Amino acid sequence: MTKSSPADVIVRHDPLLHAFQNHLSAIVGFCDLLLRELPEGDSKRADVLEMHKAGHAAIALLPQLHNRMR
Amino acid sequence: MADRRPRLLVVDDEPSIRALVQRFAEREEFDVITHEGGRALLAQLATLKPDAALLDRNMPEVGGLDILRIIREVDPECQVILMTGDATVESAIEAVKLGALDYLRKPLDFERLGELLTTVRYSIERRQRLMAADSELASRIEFCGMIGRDPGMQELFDLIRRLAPHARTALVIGETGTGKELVARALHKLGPRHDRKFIAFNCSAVVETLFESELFGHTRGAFTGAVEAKAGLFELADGGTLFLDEVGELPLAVQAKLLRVIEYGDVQRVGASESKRVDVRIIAATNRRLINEVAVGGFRQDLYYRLNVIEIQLPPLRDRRDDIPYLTAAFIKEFAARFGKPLAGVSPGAERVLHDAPWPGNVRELRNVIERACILSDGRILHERELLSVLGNAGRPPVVATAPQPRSAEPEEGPELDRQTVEQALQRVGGNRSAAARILRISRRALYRRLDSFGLR
Repeated sequence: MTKSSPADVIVRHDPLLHAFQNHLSAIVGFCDLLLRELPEGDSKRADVLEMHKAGHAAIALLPQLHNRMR
Repeated sequence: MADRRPRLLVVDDEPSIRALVQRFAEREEFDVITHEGGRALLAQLATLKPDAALLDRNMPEVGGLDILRIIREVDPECQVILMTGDATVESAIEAVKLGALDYLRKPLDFERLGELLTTVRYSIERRQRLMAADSELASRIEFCGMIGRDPGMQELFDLIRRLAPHARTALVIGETGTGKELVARALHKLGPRHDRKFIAFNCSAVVETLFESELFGHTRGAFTGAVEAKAGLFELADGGTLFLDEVGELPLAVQAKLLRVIEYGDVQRVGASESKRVDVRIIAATNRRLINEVAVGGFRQDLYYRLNVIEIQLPPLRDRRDDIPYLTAAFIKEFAARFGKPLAGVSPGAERVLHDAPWPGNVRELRNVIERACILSDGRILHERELLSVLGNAGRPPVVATAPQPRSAEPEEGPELDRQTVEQALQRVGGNRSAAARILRISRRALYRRLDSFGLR
């Protein structure tokens, strides 16, 4: 169990951001699964890792997105 | 032991999250059911029977916390994990207070989810191992169909072993459902007559006018309807054992003839002028305090002392509750095999229910309850709700054998009773006929006649 982040509090009150976070969570989650399944040294790992990073970065941007929408 | 994979219910309104968790959990060897939530899910919860549920907290129609509350009511053994994009400390505390196993943030931490699923699987396997150990122990402490680790039961088994080679008559005393006939069969099986006949006769199940004919036989034309000569049970059991259950129900006239058979081995068919010699071991059983019957003239004193040369007392189940897990394990194993179900044990809640129930019908009632719960169950574990639905008002005060009433005070035929009333009375007491008869305020014999007339036997 973890403490809530600013992004958490914001998406709770905004249905659009909540849906957005769900989609990003799916992207990050499937990347996680692929990274667990792909063997070390597989050339695809680097691409998946990039998607994974981008997904997390997008989630971190959600508070800013919220501020712009206000 | 039949087995299946643990079942995980995944509830999220977002299809991609459902697909994601399903893919992960299936790799962890879970069977996964996915659902988008809403009221449709609530209607199905009782039939889905998951071992664990992963619920999204924020869903449009019904939230994850509400589903968690309902799962706690419907199936307290189901382990629930909540997931959310906005895991505040307050909501996490609320979820844990409601009994959630954990509270996960999105994006999901698969390491943590994997650990939680492992916890769920281990707890299921632990219960299975426990039940297998109980069942194995039950088979080791089984004695001629009886299971008892309780010191009193172990002493009883020793007593039977010691008496079986010698006893010619014995009186087995115990409440209904305690296993009196099993004791009689054990005495027969371990005695010198084990290769001869064992005949059981329920004295409360016979119309009074037919007792003599049933026990001692009759000649042709001895009474109206006696179109042929017939051997009685004493002749049929010659060389073997005759078990007289509910011997306290025998009419006084028959008691006198029974005493003669015990003392001299002479049997006289109804209508016959001569007697025949028989060699029969007689084991009588009763759930009444026969000595009280003797005091009020309902049972012959000489017969009582003849029968209770050896007296074997069977304890009621409520006095040996520590045996309930072993009995339960043995019965579940038996019925799981008979019904082809993958049942492997009972939940902790169900175990408490079984331990605390009053069991007026003793081991027979426990066996019946397990049988019916096994029929109802379609999971691997018998749950509290399945047992409660079978036990009904198990919290009622126990119906135990009371001091006997003089027979004249007990109406022989009693009031007019319809089939439904009799059926309901039997259901209330788990099929225990003595207890049902008491509820209906009729004698056991009168109850048996009604069961016959309604085709319920």
